[in-house]
Amino acid sequence: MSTEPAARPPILRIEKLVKKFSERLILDQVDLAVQPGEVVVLLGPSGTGKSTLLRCINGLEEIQGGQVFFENRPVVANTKNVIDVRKHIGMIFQSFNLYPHLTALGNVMLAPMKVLKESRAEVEARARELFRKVRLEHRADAYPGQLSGGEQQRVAIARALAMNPSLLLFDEPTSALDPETVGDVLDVMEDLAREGRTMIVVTHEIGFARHVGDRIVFMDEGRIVEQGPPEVIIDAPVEERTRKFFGSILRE
Amino acid sequence: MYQFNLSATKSYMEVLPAAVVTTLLLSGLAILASIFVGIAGALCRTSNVRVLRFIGGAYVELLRNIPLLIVIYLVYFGLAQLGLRISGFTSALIALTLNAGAYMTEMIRGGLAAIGKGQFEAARSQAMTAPQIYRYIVMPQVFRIIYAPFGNLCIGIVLGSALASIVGVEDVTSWMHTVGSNSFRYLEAFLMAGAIYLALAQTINLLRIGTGRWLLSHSPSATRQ
Ligand SMILES: Nc1ncnc2c1ncn2[C@@H]1O[C@H](COP(=O)(O)OP(=O)(O)O)[C@@H](O)[C@H]1O
Ligand SMILES: [Mg+2]
Repeated sequence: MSTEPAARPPILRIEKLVKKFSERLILDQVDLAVQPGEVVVLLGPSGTGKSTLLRCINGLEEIQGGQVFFENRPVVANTKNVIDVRKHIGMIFQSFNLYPHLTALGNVMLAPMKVLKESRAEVEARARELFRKVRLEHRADAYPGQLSGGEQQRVAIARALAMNPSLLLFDEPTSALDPETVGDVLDVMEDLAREGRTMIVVTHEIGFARHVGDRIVFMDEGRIVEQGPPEVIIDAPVEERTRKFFGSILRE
Repeated sequence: MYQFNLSATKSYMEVLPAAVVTTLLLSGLAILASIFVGIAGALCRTSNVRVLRFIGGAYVELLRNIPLLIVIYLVYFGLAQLGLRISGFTSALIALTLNAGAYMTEMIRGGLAAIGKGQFEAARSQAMTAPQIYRYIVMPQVFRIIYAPFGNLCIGIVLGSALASIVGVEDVTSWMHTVGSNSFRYLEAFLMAGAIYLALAQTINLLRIGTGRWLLSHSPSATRQ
C-alpha cells in the first residue's frame, strides 16, 4: 500500500493534533493520514501517548488543538456527530472489555441490534459468520468469564467487526494475554489485514509489525519521530531514538 | 401461670386484614420510593460535581446514623411545627423512605462501582449513547450485584414499618397493641403479629432466592464472580 501513489483520499486524516491532560502536553502536533486498506503499526515506549492518540480518533478524548477527520468528517468529542463516526470505527482494547453479563454471542450482537437497529435474525447470521472467522464457533454461547484471554480478545474482535467498521483500532490487543494464546489473536488480525481492512495497531509484537504492517509509525514523548515501511523503520531507522528503541526491544 | 388462648383474639380478626394491607401499603410504597431516592443518591455520590457528591454523602451518613424512630418523630412533629399538616401514614412513609433511601444509595453505588470502567469505553466506542449504556450494560449488571442485599433491605423496610404505629398508623403492630390492651391477651397478640411479619419477610426472602436461581441459570459466570 505504501508504495502506491496516494491518489485515493485518506480514510483518516489527523492534522496538528494537540492533546493535554490538565496542563500536561501528551500529544504534540501529531500529523497522520491513513489510506483505505492500509495497516499502520504504532510503536513506541509506554507513556508516549499511543493509546491517547487512538482515543482521539474515535472521540473518546477531547482534543485541545488541531483536527481529526474521519472519511472527511471532523471528529469532535461530546457531540452528536461523534456517535455517527463511532459506528464506522471498531476498537479493540488491551483488557478486552467484554460485557460479562452477556454470552459471547450476546456481546457481538448487542450494538448492531441496539445502535444500528438491525433485526435479530440478520445480526445473528452475521455474528455466527464472525465466530467462524475468529475460529470460535464452538464458544458462542459461553460467558466471558468462561473464556481464556485469547478467546475473549477474539470475541472482542468479532464484536467490533459486527458493526461493519471501515477502520479498526487495536490498542495492545495481545499485551494482557498468556504467551500461548497471543498467536491465535495475531493470526486473526493477520487475516483481517489480508482481507484489506484498514487497521491502526498499537503493539509491541515486532514480528507482527514487520510482516503485517504496511507502515510503521514510531512515536516518542507525544510526537511522531519517524515513519515508513517496516524494513526501514525497524532495521535501518534514521533517528537515534528509534534506533535505541528497537535496539532494546530486539535485544530482549 | 399464663393461660395461653389464641381464640381470645378471635373477635379482633375482622380488622386484621385491613391492618395487614396498611403494613403492605406502607412498606411497599417505601420500597418503591426509596429505590428512586437510592438511584438519585447513587448518581449524586458518583457525580463529577463536588457539591452533589457532598450532598449525597451527607445524606447517607446522616440517615444511617439516626434511629428510624427519631426520624419518624422528626418528620411527624417537625413538619407539623412548620405548619404542614400531614397524616401519620405520610410521615411514616417519608421517614421510612429517607431511612431506606440512604441504604439503597450505598447499595446502588456499590453496584455501579463494581462495573469495570473498560466496559463503558467499549460501549462508547460502539456508538452507544449514555441511556443505551445504562439500559443494556449498567442496569442488568447492577441488578445482578444488588438483588440479594436489596431483598434484605426490603425485609428491613417491612420490619421497620412496625414503628409507624407510634404516629397512629393502624398497621399490624397497632392491631397487636389494641388486642393486647383490650383483651389482655398480650402474648397471643405478640405471637400473631410476629407470625405475620415473619410470613411477609419470608415471602420476600423466597422471591430473592427465586431471583438468584433465575439469574444463575441465565448468566452463570456473571453471578458467580
Ligand atoms: N485520563 C488521563 N488523565 C491524565 N493523564 C493521562 C490520562 N490518560 C493518560 N494519561 C497520561 O498520558 C500519557 C500517555 O498515555 P498513553 O496514551 O496511555 O500512553 P501509551 O499508550 O503510549 O503507553 C501518560 O503519561 C499517561 O500518564
Ligand atoms: Mg497504551
